[in-house]
Amino acid sequence: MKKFLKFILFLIGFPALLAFVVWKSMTVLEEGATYSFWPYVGIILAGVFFIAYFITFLVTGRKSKKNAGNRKKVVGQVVALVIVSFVFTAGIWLVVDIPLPTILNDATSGTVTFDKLTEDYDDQAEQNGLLIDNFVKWNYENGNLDQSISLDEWLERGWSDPAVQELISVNFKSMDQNGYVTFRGPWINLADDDRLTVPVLVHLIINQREFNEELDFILNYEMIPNVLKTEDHPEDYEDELRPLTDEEKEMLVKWSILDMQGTPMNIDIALPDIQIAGFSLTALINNIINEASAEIVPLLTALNNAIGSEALAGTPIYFGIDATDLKDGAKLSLSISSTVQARGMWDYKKSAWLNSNNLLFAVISIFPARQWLYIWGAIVVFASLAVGAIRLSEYGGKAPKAPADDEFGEGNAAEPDYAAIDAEMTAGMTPYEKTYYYAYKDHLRNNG
Amino acid sequence: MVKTRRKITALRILQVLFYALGFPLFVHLVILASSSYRDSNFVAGEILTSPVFYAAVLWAIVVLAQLLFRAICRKNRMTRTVLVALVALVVTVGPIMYCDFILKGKYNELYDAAVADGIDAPRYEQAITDYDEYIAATNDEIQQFIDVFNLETFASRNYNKGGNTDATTAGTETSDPPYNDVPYTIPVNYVEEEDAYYSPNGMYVDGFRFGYYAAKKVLTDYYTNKLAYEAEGNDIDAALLAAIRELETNPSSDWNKYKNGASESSFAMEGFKYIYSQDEYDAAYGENGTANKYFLTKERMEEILVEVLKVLKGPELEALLNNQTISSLLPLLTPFIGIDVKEALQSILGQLDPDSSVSLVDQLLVILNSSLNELGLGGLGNLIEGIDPDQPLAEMVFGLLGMPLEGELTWETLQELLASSALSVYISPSTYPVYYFIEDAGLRDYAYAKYYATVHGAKLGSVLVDTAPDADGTQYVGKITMSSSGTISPYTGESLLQLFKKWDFDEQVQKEFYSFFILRSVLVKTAAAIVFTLAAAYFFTAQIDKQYAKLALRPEGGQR
Repeated sequence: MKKFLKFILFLIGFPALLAFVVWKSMTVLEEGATYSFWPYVGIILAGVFFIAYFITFLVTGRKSKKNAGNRKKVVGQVVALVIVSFVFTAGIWLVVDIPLPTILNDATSGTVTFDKLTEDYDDQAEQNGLLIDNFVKWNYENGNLDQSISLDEWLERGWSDPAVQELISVNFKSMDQNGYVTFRGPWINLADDDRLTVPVLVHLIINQREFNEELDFILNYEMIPNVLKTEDHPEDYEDELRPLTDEEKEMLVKWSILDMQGTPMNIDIALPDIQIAGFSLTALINNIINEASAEIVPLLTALNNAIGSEALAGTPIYFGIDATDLKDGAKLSLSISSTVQARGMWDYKKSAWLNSNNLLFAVISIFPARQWLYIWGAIVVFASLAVGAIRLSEYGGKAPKAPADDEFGEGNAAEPDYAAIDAEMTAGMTPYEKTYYYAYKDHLRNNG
Repeated sequence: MVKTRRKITALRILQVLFYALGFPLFVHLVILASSSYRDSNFVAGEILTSPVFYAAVLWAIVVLAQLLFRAICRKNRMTRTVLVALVALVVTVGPIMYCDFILKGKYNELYDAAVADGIDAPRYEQAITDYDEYIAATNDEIQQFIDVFNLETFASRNYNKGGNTDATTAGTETSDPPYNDVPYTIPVNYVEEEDAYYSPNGMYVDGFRFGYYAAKKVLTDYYTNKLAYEAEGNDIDAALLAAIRELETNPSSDWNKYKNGASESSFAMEGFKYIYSQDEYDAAYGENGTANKYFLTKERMEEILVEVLKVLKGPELEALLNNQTISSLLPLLTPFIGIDVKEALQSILGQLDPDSSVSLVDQLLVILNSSLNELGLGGLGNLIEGIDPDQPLAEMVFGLLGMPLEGELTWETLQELLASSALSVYISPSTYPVYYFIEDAGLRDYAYAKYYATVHGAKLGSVLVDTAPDADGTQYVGKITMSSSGTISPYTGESLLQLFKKWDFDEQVQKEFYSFFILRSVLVKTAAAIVFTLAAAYFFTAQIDKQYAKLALRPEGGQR
């Protein structure tokens, strides 16, 4: 019966904890499925802790059995088990939690915070899972990944495919060295901090920058942006891919500030409600867009090419007209979009994440483990104590009788048993020695 | 014997309880009472003058006295108790007396001055009771100020380094040194009292985001001078433009001397000193100048025009203009803007020759100058609110630039237009701006303040003054970025200046008085209790000792 009880108590302790960690890590494991062992780091860590605990559990059990009858030694084993159960659950984290936020902050330049991960790790795992999925999708669409294999197959391979790993590392290096680090002074910091004003944008576009001419970028086809979006043709890009010439492939790929930001900007143009020669302005513009799109598109394309030239931005920025809502809402907008999607990249911050996504998955995977080592730690400690109590009752021999009901008899369990100590110490002493001994001890005990 | 032990336990509990009801409770109450105070930015981080620190000091004095008297009066417990109670009495009642007999007079002096200044300041009796309310209200007002102008935090920030505000490393990095080939970092001077980062030219560094103190200083300089001019029926902006125009057009002005690197002794300004050397202006703005890569130079503009002209002269635009629908629609615009768009466009493009020896910028300026004098605003006035349709175009543009009507647009004046609209402007940190040479101190302060409030603020997304408010005076300030159109300012110039006066008063009283006021308010309620509970704790200690004395030692067996 006691054996069974001990087994049950053992099960609801660390093994149950391990099961919770695995269960709570499911999202992280699914999202990082292609990142080999990295998303398992948290579980591995919990597993190592479990092994340490399990070994202690076995050893202390065996030693208790061996020292059956020696209550002091058996108690020692119980204490050891309880301490190990605490250290390998909540204890270690209480210490790790002190430097961890700073380490995380430094490693991700403040883009992933400790507070975000402590409870909301699933959401972060989903975000990081989306990073690789969309990256694969865009690079499939732009022809960087072999289209003779299906997109689903590519998604399944994900990061584990060497071609994908090479794409991430080569193309991010270009975005970093010929993009982010070329922006000087306060301007890039302002843009990053939600202070992208018109003057800052102008600075980031016209300030002269220095580039690393040696860096490669993998791109084989050009995706042609749809510069005039209408209700009938609202897609971001034309269907056809244009193969790049060898010369174009050799050209240095640079990055604009819009690439760093990633998201396209739409500037709404409110059309005034005025009549020109009996027509409303909306109707006139609608008419122009319908009738002259064959001329507008080449003009906008030529303008975009000019913007991409060295004298201007030095890298494409796509200006276009979004007339998809023109009929209904009388709304026309000017869209300014970056090249990131056509080049198969995320914005800079997310590209940087993607570049070290394996490490990020390892970091994220620690958090479900951390959370349940904390929560279930209390139960592991209790279960260890309960197992210890059973062991004590099995092997501890008889408990010493409670002291007689004298002045120390009540509510003084913590008081040292001076009578027993003194009896042991004075055994064999002469009466003179005993008198000296008591005088000395009393002095010590009374004065602290 | 058991009874004795139980008594001792009970007495120990009472001893600890009464001790805790004295100073520990007092310190705890002071912590609770100072929550608004701790939220106040004026006193943030000032631990040594905080009420909690004072409370801890009072406690520490009594603890030291306890130790001292324990050493001095080892035998006489009663004397010890009386002496410690006396010390407790002095440290608890003393601050109350200090407030009511010394601080009150000082506070009232400030109060009278504040009331005379039109500030709705609390009287002493109000301040010592409702301090929490007053501090919380000021905190809210300042938070609103921070939010409206998008300051984010009370403290300023230097964006030159990613979030690093260390003054010694936060310089504007430049790989192009001003005078030699050694990589050079422009030094930054952090002035703690103003919470501001300065460049060698005395201006805020490029990436400086105002904190409370800098924003207050800029707005004070701006509105004080503007309102002073207005009070005399003058327009300070016109005066400023005239002063700058004079500095620019007068060849012997200090500004022109500075640009030409004249000797220091030749300056009209007393004690003028170059920042680095006589050729510093040329090093920044001359050929291959260090500042040139940060703004639209004439050469850069030329390169851009060449590219744009290629597109405009290409077949694509012609095809668009020849499109049947466009051809039929364009003439409809003629009555509105007074010109035939197609004809005008073709005429302008025809006149621009990229192969000419005259630069495209200059060619365009010739065309612009001739068109400006010919064109009125015509139908545009009907379309755009706030534009007088009868005003000639030249008058509007020259008016904006503060130029005489018969003047001519030059590249320099166009650059001024770009600068004043914050589109493309860069003042090198190693050269003085033109404002430096304005003689009138008020006008000079205004010039700097206007630059910071409008141009510098527009760069940083913390616009302090809207130079083109709506017809009803609505100002859009603060966060004006690509994705945000700012906040409607709840302030007028007068209301801001009045608020600043109030906040200055609040800052002073918070720093000098409120710690004592908080301490006083808690002490008024707890002084007697502290003395009583401390004496009681001593009494229980004596009782415990008495009970111990009853426990006799046995000759053998270890019982104590």
